Formats: sequence, structure tokens, C-alpha cells
Amino acid sequence: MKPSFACKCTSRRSLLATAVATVLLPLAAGFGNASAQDYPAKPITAVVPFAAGGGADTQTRIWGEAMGQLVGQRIIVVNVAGTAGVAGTKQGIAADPDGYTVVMGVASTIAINPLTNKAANYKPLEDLQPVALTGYTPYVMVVANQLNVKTLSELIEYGKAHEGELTYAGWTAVGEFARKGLEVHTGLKMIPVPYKGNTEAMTDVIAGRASAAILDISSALPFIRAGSVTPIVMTGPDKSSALPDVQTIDEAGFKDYFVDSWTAIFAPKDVPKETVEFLNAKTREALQTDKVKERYAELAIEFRDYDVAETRAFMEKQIQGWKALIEKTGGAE
Amino acid sequence: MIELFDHLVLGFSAVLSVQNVLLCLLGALVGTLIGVLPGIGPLATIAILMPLTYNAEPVGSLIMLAGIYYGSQYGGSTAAILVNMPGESSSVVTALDGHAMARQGRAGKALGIAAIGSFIAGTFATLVIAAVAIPLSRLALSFTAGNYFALMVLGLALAIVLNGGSVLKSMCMLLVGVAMALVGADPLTGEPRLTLGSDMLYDGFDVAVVAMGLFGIAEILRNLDNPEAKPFAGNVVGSLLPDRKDLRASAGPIARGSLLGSIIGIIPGNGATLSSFASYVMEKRLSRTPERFGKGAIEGVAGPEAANNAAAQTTFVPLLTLGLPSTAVMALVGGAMTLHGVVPGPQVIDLHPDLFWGVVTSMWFGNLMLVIINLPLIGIWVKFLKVPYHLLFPMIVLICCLGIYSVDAQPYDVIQVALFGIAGYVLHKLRFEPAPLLLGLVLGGILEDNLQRGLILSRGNVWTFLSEPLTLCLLFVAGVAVGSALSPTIGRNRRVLAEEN
Amino acid sequence: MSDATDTMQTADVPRGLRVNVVGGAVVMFIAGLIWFGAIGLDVGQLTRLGSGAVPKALALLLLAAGGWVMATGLMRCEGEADRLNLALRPGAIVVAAMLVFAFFIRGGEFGPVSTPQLGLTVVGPLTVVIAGCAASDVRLGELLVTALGLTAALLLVFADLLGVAVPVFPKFLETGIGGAVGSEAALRITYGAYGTLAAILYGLVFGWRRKGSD
Repeated sequence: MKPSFACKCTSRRSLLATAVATVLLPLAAGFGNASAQDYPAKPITAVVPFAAGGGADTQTRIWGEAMGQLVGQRIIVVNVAGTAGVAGTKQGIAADPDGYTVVMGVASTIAINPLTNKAANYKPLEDLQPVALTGYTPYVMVVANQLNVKTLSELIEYGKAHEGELTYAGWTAVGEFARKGLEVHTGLKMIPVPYKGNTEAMTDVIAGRASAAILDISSALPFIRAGSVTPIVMTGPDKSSALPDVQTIDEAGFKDYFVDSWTAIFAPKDVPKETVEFLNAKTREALQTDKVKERYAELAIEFRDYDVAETRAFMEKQIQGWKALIEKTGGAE
Repeated sequence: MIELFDHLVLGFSAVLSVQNVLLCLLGALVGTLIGVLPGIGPLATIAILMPLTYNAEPVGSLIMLAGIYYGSQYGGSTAAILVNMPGESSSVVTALDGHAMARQGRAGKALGIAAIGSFIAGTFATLVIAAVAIPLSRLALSFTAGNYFALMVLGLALAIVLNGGSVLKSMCMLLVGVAMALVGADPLTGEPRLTLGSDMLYDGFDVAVVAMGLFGIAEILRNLDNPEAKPFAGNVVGSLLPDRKDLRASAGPIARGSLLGSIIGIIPGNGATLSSFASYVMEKRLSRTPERFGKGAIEGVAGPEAANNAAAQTTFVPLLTLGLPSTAVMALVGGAMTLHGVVPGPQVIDLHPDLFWGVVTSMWFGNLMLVIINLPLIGIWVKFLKVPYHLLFPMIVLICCLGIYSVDAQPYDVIQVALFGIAGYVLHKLRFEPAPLLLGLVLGGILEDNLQRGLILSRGNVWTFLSEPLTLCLLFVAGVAVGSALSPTIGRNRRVLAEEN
Repeated sequence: MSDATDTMQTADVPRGLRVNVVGGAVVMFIAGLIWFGAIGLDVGQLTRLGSGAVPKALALLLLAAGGWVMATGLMRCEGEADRLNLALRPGAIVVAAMLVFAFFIRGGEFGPVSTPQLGLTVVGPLTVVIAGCAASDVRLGELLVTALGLTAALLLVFADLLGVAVPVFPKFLETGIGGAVGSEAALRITYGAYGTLAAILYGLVFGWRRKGSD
């Protein structure tokens, strides 16, 4: 790292030569591509408002890799974790509107935080503009195999027969609203058990120490495929091709309730229309490359081919839905 | 046994190619080079280097990732030994005696034994995984809230016995650490707790940030406070690398550390840290000269380094066989695997046996590369200590700031490191040891979480919560540990230590 | 780890300055902070521990332990009655250097104040030079070489080779520079210049010193 000091004792002249060479070589390489004026002329930064390694982060990196190849510039993923995603989102809002910084949004940072978290004093669809949906992730309710129930109605019946026995493993705000909403809509009472994260929670559900959990399909699928837990209902309106046999919440007889998530690209509000359109088009193209398709299939993430207006409409519907659920469950406990 | 052999053959055949070995070598090299920078822990190193693995094929990417992982771990230990800057909680113990050795001009020996110990432990842990990964994963599942609670109590008890100073003061630090672990927002409700109204504390205290402040920056302040005492002996005392005598002294600690680490690493929830603390306490207990610990005992480096590397290896078990990452670093590795098309989970072993065993054997490769790279590098690291201190420490400060900033891009993290630097300096002056605080911080959250959860699941019945045999057993051992620390004979040892200080 | 110079085994250290008296007070103060933070939190019952249960228990334990530590200091048991000596200057300077980095690397809102982004090219050398002033013997020339050389190396490795998204230039220069030669070229020119400057200074400073000492 610091050759100039590590071996002061050796020849100073050769050292100098090395130093100069280190400096000049990459410099010479740099002048080649400085002339390109078209957008994007430099790497694009994608702010992920969570720590590296999570679901949103992985999706962003999958997209970023494909997108980078398509537009001929690196997509640099920056993890700005803090205050449940608020810090990163705010940084995205404050970024220069030159199209070189975008911020990833998910249900919690866009639809939920502004309603529940004091720190999230932003208006998601005014301070940011939706660019493209990078992935739609259904949520699924899983129960411990030991309970021997296969559907939501069986679980409700089980709950009635064994009062005070069902427990619900929760580790996120989304999961907690999902539980409360289910209680309001179906009368299913489960004792909430708090967990620090998905690892501890799923360990207990698999071992049968906790009865049920509601989580994103990507995280749940490995356990479902291995038969470690039983999926009983999709908590969103649509069936998932990865779990064709699992009922949707509508089919189970409960309308007006949905819990799901997604990852989407947002840009600061003043980014020019053409840039947004460009990013939207390229994103949709990138998401239909074979590599992304393959990854998405493994994670059961769904691709939705929305243009900018459709993306915004989707967000509006999502925000409304979450607002309704939060209002309804405000007094649920 | 035949199974073990089959698994390894399958793994090696999946992994063994010139290109893959080179990728692993490259990964271990850059992992070490970045990880050795003070203030850049394994988490930051892996996050920074992850994009390098994008371009290779899945197997190549994974083996490179393994190289980066082990490189960053070893790099972190190197920084802990050289400049007392642990990049994560599991290298805190390494810093205790490792840095003391560096100050005596024995940095090369400390680094050498860390590399050798890590390699032996890594080899052992790889064999353990290949032989019993699947039954082991069941063990991970069977751990109940009560078991966790008791294990955490045991861990905290170890923290009290760890240092030579006053038991009472260690206890104070431990309690402060546990309290710090509780700071932050509730994940379910987003309700902030103990943040005293500050946004900076909304996400709680980050262990790496606290460790770098309390140990690394505080060390700088201590050295500056005392300009006559040279922070490092510029010249190497004795041979550069461990000699036969050192190896003989370290053989036992390495063997015990490997075993301890392999077992504790499987249990979800920061096994690497717990096992390095446990190994240190065990070696100190077994030693005929426990008073050397904390002042450059090579056993105090060999044991914990072996333990934490073995644990770093077996921590992969819950991730690979269950899809359950037990630390932040594992979550990151899991994310990287997902990116390369291998979604960690129970079915990986059935769907992609070649990949699964490939990953396991690549761990061993990562360890091998580490020794190959690092034994020659030790000479360079040691020379690095010849940089005059008045130039070295400002460099450490800047690299540390940049390293912390690069993890979450949060300036607040840098401010926190600075404040903990001051806190660490003041604590040193008040003769409080920071190590128990750190262990409290690592284990405190898990402790409360499991206490709360255990009581809910047992419907408030304390007896059902605590009555499982394993729970009782762990609590008993914890009781013995604390009891022995308070008992007269050990008390005398402690007093001898205190006087020597 | 403990250094012998800062302890004085004098018998008559004023009570308020003894290590354990101050230490106990600090611990009790922390206990108070925890209690204060937990005042509004519910203790709950055994079936459902509230979020306040463990913090409040910890605060009480800490208060007791801190009080005990203080008592040992007041009653002057061996070693625990030593005088507390703190050197404030180096700590303050090193912290100041780190704060400069934190406040100006990206800029932003820090409570009531908002700071501009200065980027690593400015903040890097600044942090090294300020921190270096904490040493008892400050040699500005050597420090400058270190500052420029290290910043050049960090820009090369982190910003260029590894593509870590760390702000490089001050905000007000960013668009101008990026527009003129492209941001990557600007980055390379900068660390090239820093590196060359460091090399030249190195020759001057150390060359002169060696001649002087011969």
C-alpha cells in the first residue's frame, strides 16, 4: 500500500520510478474514453437503503450486472443502511437529478415507512419518481409441519380448537402488519413472538417451536421445496408459478387483504423525462436477458413489464393498499 | 468414512482446475490485502470485493468468494495483531496477546502462528463438515430459546474471567455492553428504544464500529499520551517466524481451539466470537503460567485464532444445509451465492451436490492459499511497523475512516468510531477492560431476545424455560466459571496480576 | 497494556481524582442514562416481558456495581486509589481529524448544521495532516508526503480499481471537472498529480534531511 515508507532503507531512486509508473499507467488508460457525451457517460450509482446481502440488495445486484452490460457503464451498488431504510431513501431524494444516482425502493421504504416512521418525512411519489419495477415478490404464509394443516381455513379451525396455542414468528414491520391484518380479516388469533431476523425465526418454525410466519417467497422457497415447512396461502392477489398449488388469499375467501413486496428503481424528482424513459426501457430489456430470467426463476421473483406510467400506477395502488391495512390494524392489538 | 471420502472427491473434482485455483489464490490475495487495512473488517472487505466475482462461472465465483472470505478474515487478524485494530468481534481476542507480542518485536511469530493455527483448524473443520454436515445441521435446528439463553449466560461468564483485572470492573463493562446491545429500534414496530432521542442510535451500536473505536483508536490515543514508550520494537526479536519451541507451545491450544471452534461455530449466532473467547479462557485456565496471558503469550494467539477459523468454517453449515445465515458476514456470502445462482437452502445439497461439496472443498483451498500467501508476506507486514509512528498513526486514522464509511456510507459511523476511541482511552485510564464490553454487546441482544421469546413460548413458566438438560448444564458451567473467578485461589492469581501491572 | 508512567503511588490523592472514584461515578452515570432512556418503557409481565424489563434491571445492577467500585476507591484499597491522569490534547486532535472526515466527505445535514461535500481528494490529506498534529513531534513536510501519497493510493485502489462509491471531488467542482475531461480521467489525473507531488516532496524532505544529518 505505501511503498514509499515501508522500505525507506532501499534505493530511493527505484522507488520513485515505481511510484511514477504506478501513477502514470492508469492515467494513460483513462484518457481514452473521456469523449463519449451520451448518457450514460459514467457509472450509475444505485443506492440500496439496506445492508449488503439482503433480498433487495441481491435483486439490485442482479439487475445492476445485466443493466451495466446493456448500457456499457458500471452500475455501482452503494449500501446506505440506516433507520430502517429511511437514511438511504433520503440520500436518494437529495441526490443530483442528473440520472447518475437512482435509489431502490421496496414496500417498506416507499409505502410503509412514510406512514409509520417519524424519521421518514418524505412523500415517496412526489420527492421521487418511479422509474421501473425490477421485481415483484409475492409473500406466502408458511406453517410448521407439526401442525398438520394444509390451508388457511384449516389453520383458522385449528386456532379455534386450540385456543392460545398458535404462535406467529415475526421479525419485520411487514410481517407484523400481515399478522394483524390477518387477525382483523379472518379472526385468526396468534400470539406474536418477536425475532431478530429470518434465521432465528425460520429455525423455530421448521423445528415446530413457532407455528407460522408470513415472508417473501424467495426466502421461503428453499424451505418449502425441501418440505421443511408447509405453505398454506399466498398473501397477495396472484398465484405464483413457483407454487401453483397454493391458494391465494382471495381463493381462501378473504378479499381486500394483501401483503407482498417488490423492488423498484426510483429517481430524484427533477431527473429529465427522457432519462427516466431510457432507464425504464433498458431495465425492462435487462430483466429479460437469460441470466436474469434464470436467477429470477430460482428466487420466484416475477418480472412485470411496466412502462413508467404503469409503474407509477402500481405504486399508487400499493401505497393505498398499505394505507388501508395500516389504518385497519391500527387498533388491532 | 466412505461417505466422507466420496464427498471430498466430488468436491475436489468440481473445483480442481488451474483456473479455479488461480481464482482462489487471487481472492485470498486481494482479500488479505484489503482486509489488512486497519478499520476495514471482513464485512467491508467482502462487500467491496464481491463485484470481482461477478465475471467468473458459478463454481469459479464461489471458490474465489471463499478465497476472499478467508483472506479478509486473516487480514483482519493481521490488523488486530499489528496495530490493535480488530475489524470484527472475533479478532478482539487475537489482539489481546497478538498486539502485545507485536510490541515486543514478536509480530512475525504472532502472525505466523495465526496462519498456521488457522490452516490446521481450517483443515480439521473441513473434514468435520465433509463427514457430518448433515447431522450437524439438525443440531443447529434443535437449539431452543432456553439453550441460547444459557449459552449466552455462559459466554458472558467467560467475559468476566477473561481479563486479569478486577472481577467487579469486568462485570461493570459487561453490563454496559449488554445495555448497549439493547439500543435501537424494535424491528417489528420501529419504536426506538434507549436512543435518547438520537437518530444516530436508531440502528443500535455496530459491533465493528465499537471495536475499532475502543481498541484501535484508543490504542493510538494511548500511544500518543505516552511518547517515550515506543509503541513497537522496531527490531525483530529472535527468529521472524515461530520456532520449534513456539510450535510446541501452540500445538495443544491449536488442537483444542479447532475442536471448540468446530462445535460452537455450528450454533447459529456468532459462534466465531464466542469460540475465540472460550478458547482464550480455556488456555489461560490450562496454562501453568496464566499470568503471561495478556502480555504476549503465544498460546493466547494460537488457540483463539484456531478456534475462530474453525468456527468461521462451520458457520457455513447452517447457511449451506439450512439456508440460515448466522452472522452478517454469512448473510453477505449467502447473498453472493444467490447472485451466482446457488440459493442457499436445504435442497442445495440434493440439487447441486457438486457445488455443495465444491464450496466445502474450496474452503480448504482458501485456507491453503492463505498460508501460501501469508507466510512470505509476514516479513513485509513486520517491516511496516518500522514506519515512524508519527506518520503511521495518521495513516491508520484516514484508512480507518474510509473503511468505516465504505460499509454503509454513513458519516455517523465515523463519528461513532471517534467517540468510542475517546471512551476507550478514558476506560483504559480508569482501568476498565474493554473486551467484556464488546462480548456483552455481541451477546446481549441474543440474550434478551431469547429470554423474552423463551418466556412467551413457555407461557411465562420459568421452569419449563430453564429445565431442559442442556440449558441446566450450560448454566451450571457458567456458575462454576464465575464461582472460580471469585474463589480465593484464583483471586490470588488475579491479585498477583494486578500487582504486576 | 498498562503503562507505569501514569500511575503514581502517592498516598494522598484527593478523593475526587482517584481512578476508582471517577470510574465508579462514570458507571453510575451510565446506569442513570440507561434508566432515563427506559423510563417510558413498559416492564411487562413474565409471559410477555416488556421492552423496559431488561434495561431497567441492567440499570439497577450497574448502579450497584458502580457504587461498589466507587466505594473501593474511597476506602483506598491497593492500587485503586491512584490518581487519574488524562492527556486531552492528542485525543481532541485525533477526534477532530475524524470529525472533519465525517462531516465533509459527503456533506449533509448534521442536526442544525449542513456541510458541503469536499470528497476524498480534499478530506483525505486534511484528515492525515490534522491527525498528525497530535504527535509530540510534528514534522509538517513528512506529514504532507504521507497525506498526499496515502490519498493517492486510496483513490487508486478504492475509487478507481475497486469502484467503491466514495465521493471523490468537492461538490462545486464535480460537475465542472466531470464535464471537462470525464470523471474517470479527472480521478486519474488527481491521484496521478498527488502521487507525483508526494514523490517530489519525498525527495526534497528526506533528501534534505539525510544531507543534513550526514
